[in-house]
Amino acid sequence: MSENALEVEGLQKAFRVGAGNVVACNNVNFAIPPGGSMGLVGESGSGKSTIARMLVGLETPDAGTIHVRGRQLGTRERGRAARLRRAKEIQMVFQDPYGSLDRRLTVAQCLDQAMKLHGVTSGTSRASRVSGLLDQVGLLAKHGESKPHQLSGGQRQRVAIARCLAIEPSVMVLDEAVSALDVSVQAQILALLNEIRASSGIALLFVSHDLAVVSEVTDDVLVMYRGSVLEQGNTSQVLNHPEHSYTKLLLSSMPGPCWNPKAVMQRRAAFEAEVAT
Amino acid sequence: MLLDIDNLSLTITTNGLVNPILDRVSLSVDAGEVVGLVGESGSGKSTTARAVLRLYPETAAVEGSIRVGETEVLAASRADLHRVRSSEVAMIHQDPRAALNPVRRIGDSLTERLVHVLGFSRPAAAAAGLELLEAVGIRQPEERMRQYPHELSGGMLQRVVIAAALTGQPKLLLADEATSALDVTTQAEVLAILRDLQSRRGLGVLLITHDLHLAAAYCDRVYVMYRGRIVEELRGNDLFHGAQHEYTRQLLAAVPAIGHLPNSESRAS
Amino acid sequence: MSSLSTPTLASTPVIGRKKRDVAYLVSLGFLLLVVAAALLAPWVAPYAANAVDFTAIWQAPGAGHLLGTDQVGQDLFSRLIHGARESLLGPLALLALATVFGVTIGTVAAWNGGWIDVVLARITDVMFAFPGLLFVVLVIAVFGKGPATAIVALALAYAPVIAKFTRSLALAEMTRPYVDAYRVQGVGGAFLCVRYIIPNLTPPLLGYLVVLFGEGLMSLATLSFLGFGAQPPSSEWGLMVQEGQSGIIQGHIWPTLVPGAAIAAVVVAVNVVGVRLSDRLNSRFER
Repeated sequence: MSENALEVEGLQKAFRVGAGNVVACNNVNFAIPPGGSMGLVGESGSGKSTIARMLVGLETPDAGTIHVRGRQLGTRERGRAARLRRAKEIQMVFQDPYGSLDRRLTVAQCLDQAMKLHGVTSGTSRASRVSGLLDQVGLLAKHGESKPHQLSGGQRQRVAIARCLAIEPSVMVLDEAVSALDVSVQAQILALLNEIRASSGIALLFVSHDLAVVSEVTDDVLVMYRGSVLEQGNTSQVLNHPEHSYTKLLLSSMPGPCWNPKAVMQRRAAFEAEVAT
Repeated sequence: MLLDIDNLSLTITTNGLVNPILDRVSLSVDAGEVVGLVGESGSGKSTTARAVLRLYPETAAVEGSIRVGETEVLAASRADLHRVRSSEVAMIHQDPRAALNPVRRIGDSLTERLVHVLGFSRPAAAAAGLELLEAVGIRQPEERMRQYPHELSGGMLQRVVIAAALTGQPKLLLADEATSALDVTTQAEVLAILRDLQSRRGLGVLLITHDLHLAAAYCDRVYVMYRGRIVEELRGNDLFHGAQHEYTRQLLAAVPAIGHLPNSESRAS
Repeated sequence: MSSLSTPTLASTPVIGRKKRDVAYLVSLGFLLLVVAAALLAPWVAPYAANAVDFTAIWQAPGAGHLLGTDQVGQDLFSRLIHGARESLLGPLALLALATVFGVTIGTVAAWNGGWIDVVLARITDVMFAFPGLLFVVLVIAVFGKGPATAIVALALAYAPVIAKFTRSLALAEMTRPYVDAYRVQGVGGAFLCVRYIIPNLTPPLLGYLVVLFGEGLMSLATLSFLGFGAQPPSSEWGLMVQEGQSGIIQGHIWPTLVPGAAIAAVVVAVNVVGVRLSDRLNSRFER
């Protein structure tokens, strides 16, 4: 068996809120093969974003291990070399295309600094790589000179993707990366990500509340509710033939031809009653 | 007709640059009708809704007509405009937290308008407030009245906002992405309640949304906006199959959906 | 009105902008003039700073002496110009020193939180409760009087204020997703603060510092007036006010009024320019 791009085992995290603990992530296990794509879906408070943040080192797990290409990631990086090594393994695209770029830097500077940080010392090779990256994410050379505020939401998200690619990670986490975008732009970005996955073999983890998006771009899916994985498996299997009542509830909540909000309300009440007991 | 917008054009000139925001927009909402207004960001859908309350920059050049009931909004006197804003039309926005004063109790936010604008006595206003909270499906309304906005979830708050919007007994509700920030199950709940209220009170609703599936499933009629123009009007049921305009079709084609998994080829790589 | 009543559009007040423009341009022009005079003092001043002329004491402004003379016949206009350098460089040095300390402490407190933050909060609380001037006088009592001590003492008093302001700006800045994005790239805390966060704080910080410059100028002049700062024969403006004081009883107000007015005018002009500058920098950055 070949080694996985990302392998998560027994991941655990609780936050102290007031007097009690809120479990944001309860014994979560999953694996993505190289070039694979996985969806992490759930509503707000399901813990999906906490998992994303633990993967990239913005939160420290209470327990569990994360392996990228067979190498275990530390829980808390000390020192520059360790930090950079982790960054090289996993990168993330954030939800907010307006806030996740430094407003002071042009696109080219932003990409250049990411590469410089990761040891590309030659200025000319960085410059040529910048134009290559811009091209790869579907931006024009002139966009390199733009500041974030001069770009549209979709363009900014392309820059964020280029910034990840500049570091050449094995895994890319997309935390609601397309949910702030218009559908036509969203479709373009999703197509771009599929292309990147096919050509580079980077594994993608889509963290999203949008089942439709996840159904379009992932091979496997995890359905989360209050920190626990309720159902996981092949995306088309899970979404077309859901087994867990929560997955069914989520699917029936999505507006569509046979959507009945009143029935959703009753289902949700029934599910919450089930959880309570 | 409850709301009748006819050939509305709105242009904003900044630094000598003429910027047409709305171009001959015509739409109508009848009592008891849920009408969708869909389009991408920048299409002018929110501007249209705000224009109904005459909320646009003073520098905007506006042409056409907006009639709310008998009132021509664009030419209304201050008193008429105040009446339209306070008791005929209510608007709900995306973020309920922005609509409620964070340091005031829910009950106070809910009843102050009854007391100050509509002249209720305090006990009568409190009773009406409780009734409204019940109407939007909030359990234990007495307790909620005493709570502050930060103590309630987003879905609960949006229901409070809807309740507050109904205090003036409006005939027309403008819902600008009112459920876009909510989880899908919560969105369904809020919309079920809204549907219920709407049919019982005979409200006209203009639902502004970027979610085409939602517009198709929830609205009687749907207008599609593109770059300040209405390019198409369709029955909600027909949105996904009856669209004629090229833009609408492309938009619909871009919407992701479960059931068909079009990327099955690319996953073979 | 109800919380739901539709918000009225915030229309920018068009009236008043012209007036502010005029005030800004006049202030800026005045400051440039003062700075130019300070730089070119030896060449533009009609007399030397300490040219005594007993035949022309206590003269009112007139043809020979543009702004009059003091009790030993020194030309006030010339003394003003010669003193401008010290009067302006003092607050600049004080601010530079206070900024280095304040911004460092404020950023570290925001980034690390923990005990550094607690200690900073306590120090600033004490500083706010304790009269600043008293603190400065205390420092001077320990280290002896003189312009350098006055500057260092005031810098120590200003640093916590700047630290607190920086801390609040930095805390807000750190919630922006781009900071997380840098961390995910593997950028370390110290480098991230110095290279990315602090530069993003400069627009609001700069506006605040310009306003503080006016305050610093006044504080230093006050110290000189009290005899703790600049020492004779300097013609620092605060010292000039103090030296002119003796004449007031006899009706000679010019030696006091001229340096006093100079201090006031510079402080007002600096404030006007500072507010405008920070507005402009902020709006350019926030887009």
